[in-house]
Formats: sequence, structure tokens, C-alpha cells
Amino acid sequence: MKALEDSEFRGFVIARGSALVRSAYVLTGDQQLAEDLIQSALEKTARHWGSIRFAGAAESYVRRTMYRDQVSIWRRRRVNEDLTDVIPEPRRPESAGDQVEERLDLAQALNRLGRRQRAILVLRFYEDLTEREVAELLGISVGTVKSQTFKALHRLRVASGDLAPAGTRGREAR
Amino acid sequence: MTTTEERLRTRFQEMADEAQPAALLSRLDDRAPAMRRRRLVVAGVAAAAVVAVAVSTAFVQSRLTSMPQPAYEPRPSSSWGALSRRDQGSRGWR
Repeated sequence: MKALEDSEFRGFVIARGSALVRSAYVLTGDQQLAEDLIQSALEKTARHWGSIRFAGAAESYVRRTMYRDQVSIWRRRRVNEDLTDVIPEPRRPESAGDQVEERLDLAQALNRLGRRQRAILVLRFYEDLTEREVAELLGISVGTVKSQTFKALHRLRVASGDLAPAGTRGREAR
Repeated sequence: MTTTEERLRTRFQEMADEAQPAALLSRLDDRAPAMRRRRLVVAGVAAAAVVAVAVSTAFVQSRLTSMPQPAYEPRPSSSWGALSRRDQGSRGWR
């Protein structure tokens, strides 16, 4: 493949690779899955490198491909998702010493979200995109972004007590 | 921004810091032969499809041209026919 021998493409991967892996890791929550996702997105980018390079849009293309792939995998493997209707009893952290467990709680709560909900949260609160930008990137409506964000945050608040605002911890679980 | 959103933002940053650097280029280089093969397969399938369409079109065309044409006398056009019939009729009256 020509792009893999192109010094510009290789330079792009070296320069932006770690930032892309960070995003992919936040998106998937797993190092191996993150690397696979990035690799697949980079392969697609390499295939269209000629036009993308001239447009100067390599990074946005990779990111768009990565997020869309993640959401489409979610669509295909929906049945296998680890989703549950039973929301576990929220933990109420009592001291600062529980920080590691709190972090695990949040990781588990994030893993219980659907891929699309998680992708929307990552785009909104990690990538700092607006609702309109998220909608355009994922090819969904702004209304869907808003409703999915609301539902995802609600699920996180209920499942992970440490995310709930100070005055509401545990209240939503009742 | 609510407290929940702020905490989520912080957590995402922490998660991003946990990500290990990946040897993306070497992974891509390892995959290069497979990518090339896949590209060849796609090109081969596309070429085969084009050839199949061309062959079937040529076959149908050859069948159509080799079919015997039905022998028939062309009918005169309606206006000419009407005129000629009228002429014949008028001739008959005379």
C-alpha cells in the first residue's frame, strides 16, 4: 500500500498516534480494543490518503472513522453487549481512601453503557464537541445526542454513586 | 456545567492518561501484505464483474442479431392507405 511508504503518512501517525490512542482508550476502555480500533481507522485512512492529505483533514478523518466504527460495531453486536436492566445498588463513598474503588465503579458503569451512549459522552466531555458537532460526526440528530446524553448520565449517576452530585447521592436509586 | 459532567470529564482525562503508547506504525507495517492482498482481491472481483457483464451483454446481442427476422410486407401508412383506397373506390365508381 502506497500510503504506508509515504513519509507524510508515517509522520502523521508518529505525531498524532498517541493522542489517537488516548481517545480510543477512553472510547473502548481497553488497550487492545483501542489499538485495534485505531489500526482499522488508520488502514481506512491509508486507503484514501491521496484525497485526505490534500484536504488536510487526516486527523478528523481518522477520528470520524474511529467513532463511527465503534458505533457500528455496537449496532452489529448489540445482542452481545453487557447491558442490564437491573441497576446495581449505588456505592456511597465514605472516605478519600476509596478513590481506587470509586474509579473502578465508574469504569464498570461506563462499560454498562451502550457503545453509542459511551461514544456520545466521550465526544461531549473528552473531545469537547458541541451537540451539533457530535450529531454530525455520528450521523444522528441533535435530539438523539441530547436524549442519549441525558440517559447515559442518568445511568452513570445511578450506577456509580461517586458521580452523583453531592446533594443527590443515592436519591436517584430509590 | 453540572458536577456530574465535571467529574466525568476528570475521569475521562484520568483514563486517557492510563492509555499505553502503541506501536501503530509497526502494526500497520505488519498488516501491509494483508492490506495489499485485500486490495488485489477487491480489484479482481471488480474486474471479474465487469468482464461478466461485458460477456453476457455480447452474448445477448449476438443472439438477437442471429435470430431470423420474420418476413412480412410492410403495410402502407394509414394516410397513404386511406388515399389509395379512396382512389380505388372512386375509380370503381367511374
